[in-house]
Amino acid sequence: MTSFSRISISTALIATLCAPAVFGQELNVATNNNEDDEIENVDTVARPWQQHRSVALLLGTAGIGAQGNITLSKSWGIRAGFQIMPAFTISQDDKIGRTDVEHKYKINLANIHVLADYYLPFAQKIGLRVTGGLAGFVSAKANVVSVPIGEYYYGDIPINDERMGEVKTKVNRSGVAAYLGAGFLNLVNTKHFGLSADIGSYYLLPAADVEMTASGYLSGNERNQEQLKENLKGYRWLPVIQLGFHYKF
Amino acid sequence: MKRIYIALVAVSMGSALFFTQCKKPSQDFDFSVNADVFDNTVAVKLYDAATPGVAPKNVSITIEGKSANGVYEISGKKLFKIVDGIISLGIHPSMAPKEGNPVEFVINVTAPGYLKVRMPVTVLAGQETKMVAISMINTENPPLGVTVVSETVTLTGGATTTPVAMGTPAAPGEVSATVAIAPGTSFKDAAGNTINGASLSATMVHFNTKHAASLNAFPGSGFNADDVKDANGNIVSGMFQTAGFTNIDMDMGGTSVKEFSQPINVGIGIDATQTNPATGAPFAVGDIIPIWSYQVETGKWEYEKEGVITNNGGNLEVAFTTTHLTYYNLAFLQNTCAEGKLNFNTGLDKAETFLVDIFAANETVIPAVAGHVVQVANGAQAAFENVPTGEVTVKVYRNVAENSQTNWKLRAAPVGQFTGTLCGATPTIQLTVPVTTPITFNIEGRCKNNATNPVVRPSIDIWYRLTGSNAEYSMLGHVSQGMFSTTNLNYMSSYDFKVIWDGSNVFLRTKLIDSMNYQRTIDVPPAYEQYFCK
Repeated sequence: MTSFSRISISTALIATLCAPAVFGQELNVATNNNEDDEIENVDTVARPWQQHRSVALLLGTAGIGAQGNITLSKSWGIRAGFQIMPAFTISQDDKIGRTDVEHKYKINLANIHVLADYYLPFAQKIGLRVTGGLAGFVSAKANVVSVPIGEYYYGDIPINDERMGEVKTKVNRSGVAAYLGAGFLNLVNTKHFGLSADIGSYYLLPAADVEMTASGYLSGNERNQEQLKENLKGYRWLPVIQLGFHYKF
Repeated sequence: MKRIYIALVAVSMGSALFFTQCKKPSQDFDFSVNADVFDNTVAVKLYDAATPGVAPKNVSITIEGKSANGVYEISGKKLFKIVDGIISLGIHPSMAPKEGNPVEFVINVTAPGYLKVRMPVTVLAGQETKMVAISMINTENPPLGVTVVSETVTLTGGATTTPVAMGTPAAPGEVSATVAIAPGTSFKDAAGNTINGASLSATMVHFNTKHAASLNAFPGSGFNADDVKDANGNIVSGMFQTAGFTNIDMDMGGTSVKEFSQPINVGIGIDATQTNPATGAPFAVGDIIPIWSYQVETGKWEYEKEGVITNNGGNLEVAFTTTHLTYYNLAFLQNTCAEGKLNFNTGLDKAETFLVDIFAANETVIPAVAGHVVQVANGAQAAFENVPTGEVTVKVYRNVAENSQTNWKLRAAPVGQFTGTLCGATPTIQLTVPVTTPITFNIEGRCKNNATNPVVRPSIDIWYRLTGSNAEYSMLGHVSQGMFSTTNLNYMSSYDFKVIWDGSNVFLRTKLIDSMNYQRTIDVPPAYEQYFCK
């Protein structure tokens, strides 16, 4: 898992643990000392259906992005936005048969999405919601470069040099995805600013488009393309954990 | 705060139910490493000159020379074992030939009952596949054009007491060679020390110029030589146009004789029908022809003296005296350039192998370069080392089983011919290859038993002959990672194929060519897994 992903989750957890909130209770985030006034202020700002409009900066495992939020009623809201995951590379060791292989993945994700939120009748002040919707992944690609690990010899000749070549795999899952998740709208809720948190998953609808090429001494390994396509049939879920930093207006 | 934390955990755990237990993406993959290490390979074929289809037994080779460190057997091992008369060599890519810096090494060959051979090999940049055919003379069964005489002479005090005269037998119309040793001649080793012994064993071999098998045994790398001391003492290179050569070996009790206490007389016959390249007319009495000597141990040629052609009993001959033993060659040394290149317009979609003969000017019978195998794509270049300067004639033949790679007299009509200069120019030769559909091979071997390399795609030389022909195996070409294409096989003909692998194993298969496209995955038989599935 990349450091970027770890930061995203840590941030979410720290924000959650530090947020003064009570399950099923009203949030108390007012700043004046008058207890009656605080209750009145909280009651005014806490109910999500009074947050008519906001724009949010999204930060999570699906990338960074922006989102517009509108609450339609005390139970329903809609959101639309986009997210881009900056390209990142991760390495993974694998064992294929008796061969140790290193895979380097470079992953690109970008989506535009439209989501509908249903705010549950309890814990409305914190904005507990379940969410469903659709996303169009304009980019859901992984480029993988695979090379064998370890010392290789051809007879007496070591062959761990640039002539070894690589196996390059492109997996493309761009297309429509469904989303299902849950979260909280108002982990933090002030007059103009709010913090939301969501966890869920996209379900990628298109089958994986796989293209595999091999070079050098690894030529011929592109024969595994169809097997990879078959193996990726179950890889549909793209889990999401994210925070939203809202500006309300 | 606590309740939100619990809520988040609950949602997370619920979300986990969505994640399916997926297959590992690389499950059921076959991952193989099939190295094609060598950019330059040399296929070496050693054959009995009298019976080219038969490989000499118990042949040993050593590799020496400037580039010897970079020479491997084609399986990547330093294991130079001749299997069925064949070995394929590869040049380590770090020592691959470059323009102006060829790979050079020497193959020393010995086999019981055969004349020793020292074969210099030069690999130029652009010569990706090269074939070296080494003809070996069995003194008990020499080929056409080669005659042998052996004698044992009794000595007194390590010296002759009576005249010794030896002559190789000559068939009607063919020439021979003679040697005469005067009484009182004693014998010395290579260091000049007199050898004591009770008897002298002498063998004389004469090679005429009428037969390809005889000329194929010319010492060194064909008629080319790059270590020749000329009449002025300069070291030069060139190409010999020979009128005949002979080898004289003597030993006393196992010690080789190299020198004599007094000159011996040698006579080498000359074919009166052969053209004298100096005059353009058949050789005649009074013509002058240089005499050269050659040492197998060093590979060096040296000018000895001028020889004058005389009439000896109705036959033309050059008689001379010498005080040392070696090969003797009557020849003119022609100038050559280190490298000549030729562009090939084959008209074919894929690379193909061809046989090439190159004739010097004024020579139409004996090629200066014979049976050179090239593997070229359309429009690609082939390089030839030690090409005669001046005008040459290049003839290109299909590398089919009917065209012998060792006997330049067994050739069908060429598919292309060029006359002109190769030195300092890169002309183009246009080939007219009969329209045939190439037969393509894409073969891989599947190794069972969880092998380290589950799929093998070898890079090897492949040899072939027509089934039932009992002919010598010819080199068909070089297979690269299991892939090969050729127009030199005939559809619906049956061939015997031979492959040498792992330095010591020969694999034979007879196959009817009944398809144009062989894309096969073959289960490697268990008996062969130890060689291929590693």
